[in-house]
Amino acid sequence: MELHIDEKRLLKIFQDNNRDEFNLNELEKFMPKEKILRVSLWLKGKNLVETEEKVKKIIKLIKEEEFPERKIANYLKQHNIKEIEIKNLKDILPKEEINAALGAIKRKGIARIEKGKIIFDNLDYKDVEEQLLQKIKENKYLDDFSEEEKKIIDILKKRGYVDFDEEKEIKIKLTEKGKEFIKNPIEIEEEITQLTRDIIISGKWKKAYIRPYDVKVPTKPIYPAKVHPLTRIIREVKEILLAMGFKEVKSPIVETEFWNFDMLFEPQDHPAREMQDTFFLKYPNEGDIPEDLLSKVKEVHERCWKYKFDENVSRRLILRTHTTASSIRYLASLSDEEKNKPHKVFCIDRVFRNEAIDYKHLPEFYQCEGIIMDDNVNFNNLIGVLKEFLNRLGFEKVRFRPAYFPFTEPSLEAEVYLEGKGWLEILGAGIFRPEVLEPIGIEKPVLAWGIGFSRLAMLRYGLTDIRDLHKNDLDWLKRV
Amino acid sequence: MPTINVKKADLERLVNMPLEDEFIEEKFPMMGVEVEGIFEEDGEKIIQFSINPNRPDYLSAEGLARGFRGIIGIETGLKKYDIESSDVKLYVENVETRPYIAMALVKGVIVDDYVLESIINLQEKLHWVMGRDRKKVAIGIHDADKVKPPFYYKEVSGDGIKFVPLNSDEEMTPREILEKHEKGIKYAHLIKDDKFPIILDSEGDVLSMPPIINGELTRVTTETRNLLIDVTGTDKYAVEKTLNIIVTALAERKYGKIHAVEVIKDNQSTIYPNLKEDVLETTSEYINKVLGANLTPGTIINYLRRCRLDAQFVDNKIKVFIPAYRVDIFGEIDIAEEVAIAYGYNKFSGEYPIIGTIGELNQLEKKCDFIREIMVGFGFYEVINLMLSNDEVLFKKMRIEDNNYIEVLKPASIEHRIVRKSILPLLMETLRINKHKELPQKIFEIGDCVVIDENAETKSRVVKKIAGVIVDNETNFNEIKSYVEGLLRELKIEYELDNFEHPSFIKGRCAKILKDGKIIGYFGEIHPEVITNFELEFPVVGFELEIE
Repeated sequence: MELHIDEKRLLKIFQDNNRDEFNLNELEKFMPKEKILRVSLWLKGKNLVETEEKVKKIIKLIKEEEFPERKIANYLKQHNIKEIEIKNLKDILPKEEINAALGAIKRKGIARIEKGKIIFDNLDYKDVEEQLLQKIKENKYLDDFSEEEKKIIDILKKRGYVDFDEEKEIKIKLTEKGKEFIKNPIEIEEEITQLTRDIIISGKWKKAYIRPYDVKVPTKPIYPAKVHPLTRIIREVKEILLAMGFKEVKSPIVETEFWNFDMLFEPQDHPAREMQDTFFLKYPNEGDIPEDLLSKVKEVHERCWKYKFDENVSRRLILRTHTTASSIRYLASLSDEEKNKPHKVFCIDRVFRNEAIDYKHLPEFYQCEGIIMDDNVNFNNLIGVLKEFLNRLGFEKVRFRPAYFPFTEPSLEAEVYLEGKGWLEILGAGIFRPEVLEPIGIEKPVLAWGIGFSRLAMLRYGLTDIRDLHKNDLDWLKRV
Repeated sequence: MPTINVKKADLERLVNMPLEDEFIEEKFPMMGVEVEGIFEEDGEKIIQFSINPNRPDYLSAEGLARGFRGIIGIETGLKKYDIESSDVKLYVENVETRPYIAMALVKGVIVDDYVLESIINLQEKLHWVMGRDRKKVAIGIHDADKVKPPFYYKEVSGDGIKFVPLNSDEEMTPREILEKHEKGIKYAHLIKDDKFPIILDSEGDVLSMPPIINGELTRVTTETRNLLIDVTGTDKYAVEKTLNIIVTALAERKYGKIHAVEVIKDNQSTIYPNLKEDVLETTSEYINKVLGANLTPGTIINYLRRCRLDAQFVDNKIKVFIPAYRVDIFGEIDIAEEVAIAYGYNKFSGEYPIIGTIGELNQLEKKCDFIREIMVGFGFYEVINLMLSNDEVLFKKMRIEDNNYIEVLKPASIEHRIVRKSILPLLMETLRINKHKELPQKIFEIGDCVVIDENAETKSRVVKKIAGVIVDNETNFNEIKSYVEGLLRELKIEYELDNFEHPSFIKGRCAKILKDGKIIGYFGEIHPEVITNFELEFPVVGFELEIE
């Protein structure tokens, strides 16, 4: 028969003490109570011990104060008198105890009450109730008291000094089988809680008991260090675009209005250029522009928008408001030879908008811009590319609707369908207007689209407040 | 993006058919008009539309209904607006600050509550979209029966005339209006040199003082039947187009008739409005090439007519007639978009183009991603802060004095006005935000910083940096040195170290990283004053390194 080490320990107590039975409380000096109960349950299952439960009525002490009548006697003794008027008891006892005292004095006959006075013959009277309280302190089991004593205990209960309760007395006894078992020696191995090098190389583990664990007990969670969730989205998008044959490009964060707006055919008096939307720089505030390109752009603006173009506006420095500036800079940098080839490029970077900060808006956020330039690309191809891109991002249902951007025509916005949310706008796109491409000498069509990452991040991570992305709460960064 | 609220009942009246909410939500986006919502107000159903800024002709219920009747095919082609002659004249003097004015009449309009509301809203929206908040274009709409032609447009001085402005019962001079009237206060910046444009009638009564305010005399009410429209501005084209948008919208109303006004300046006469359509030429080959479609000329023409244009097929070319209220059609590409809209964006099959190009990552970005892997391997969490910060965090709390940074003119908030040139301070701020979280905390950030560079075309330069910090019960120089050297080793950078006196660090426990004699970074134990400035209570070590 295989026994747990604690089972052996418990049986050894019976063996060493040469006894067949113990009360539970007697065993508690050898082993914690909870362990005794658990182990004896195991041994009971193996028919080596049996347990016997007896419910015993016990007397519980509730109040350990002097009786109020004794307080009166002590008061009189201190003052070397033997009587007191009832009306003066309020100086000795609280109001609620006075009646109790008077009742007790009459019942016990320890003093005479005559003409409004209490007269003690003997201030050192013997009190049966007091004696019984003392006895209860030594033995709380109700059955050990005589019938006469039980009556007095009832009085004590009424007076609020004691109460009745029940206590289970558990006795653990060896069965016949158990008695036979302990006739043989019981060997207890050493217990191991932590495997160490010494234990391993010495071979102690061969004779030792390695304590088992509860495999379901919760342990402290560990989180890997990780990149920011925004970085994970950026990586995912880059992977898709690389697979689609796109090359990554970069451009300045501080831009002139020339590259950010003028080159993109946005009129200089367009509302988007007002203070409300764009971060203008206090210092520095003016940049350099390629002069030959400037004159071409000016000519296009004045011809189409029919207004007076201001070159000083073009030189103003701002924080770029979109990544389209990257695309247009790239196209402008192409040599004549390079213009003959197809191009697919993308830029993922931060852009800035002067918007009040709230749960939906931040003054800066990540945007991705992509363009495709080739001889015969068209609007239908643009829709094809966007469907492919969005499908790869995990959006199955995609639809398109007309939109407006100053630098593209036709223009569209793409929406994706989300279960429980409906259709959600996700990106804007179009074909660069001829007026955008004319100054840089490009005659092929150029498809273009841009997507903001804030919305992607909110969808992907279930955020309801965009500010959470940059709050950098480490608990969130660990779990997300 | 401007929005307008339209009463559903008014829209149905103008379209001349009942409209289900679902139909509205489905069809208007197809023509490029977003339905922001449909809701009830005072027991009446309201539709909120978002209008693209290139379609000011959609800024009214009348214009929307006209477009909608076309897109769903119940009334297509160019809308013909008859212009009746009148003997009304406007004499224009030289008004330097707002030299252009156009004027017209629309008579017979039944101005019920819907129409009155629509007029007021259209005026307000056009002030922004066409008028750049009245600077470029300002509009006056008047009860024509309250004044007597001919009319005069001239300049007066600040106390050169008196009249009761709209929404007032007190006669004021122009200067007093700028000081006391709500609109005067708001638009005072548009008046220069005490010269006030003014429009008067033959009896010397004031119609309006552009671009500030109309006179109370000609206030439009539901009793008005004949409307006089004035448009003034700094841009002739914008002034004329704005007038066209307004008169054609009003002519959509029952019984509304446009009447011409003769505008005379320097003995030269111009008749307004000029609703002559523009003409453009394109080909079906061009349209199909742009769209990737295979449409016949006849089909293309039908689609254009749904967009309320007209077109003819002549000599293998498509001649397109564009209504005078459109401001968004410059060339062939715009015609292609009209065809695509009428065809239906979601009918395009979406053919993926087969174009042979090679995907490639930016080399510096690749390096940054490699660094991310190293730092995560070291057990650091990546954080991403905003680039816009403030001098308290970037300099003061770091015990740094620096005046050479890029600042925005009008920040979104006081905390976001300086473009960062260093990342380390933002990591200290991140530690502050997490000061009640479990230790140790190890965080890093890789990102762009911007420094001033007078030699660059944008007078600035982007510098890519990485910074990292550790806060722990016990941490010191040795720990951060091991991490920094581990990073430099993985990056195969040949470096030297030397003592560095950086005010944010403890003196004698800070080192600079030199490469080819140039400082590319630094690391060490953060100064306890900096630690307490960021409300922290444990030792902090950190580093910053330029990436190139």
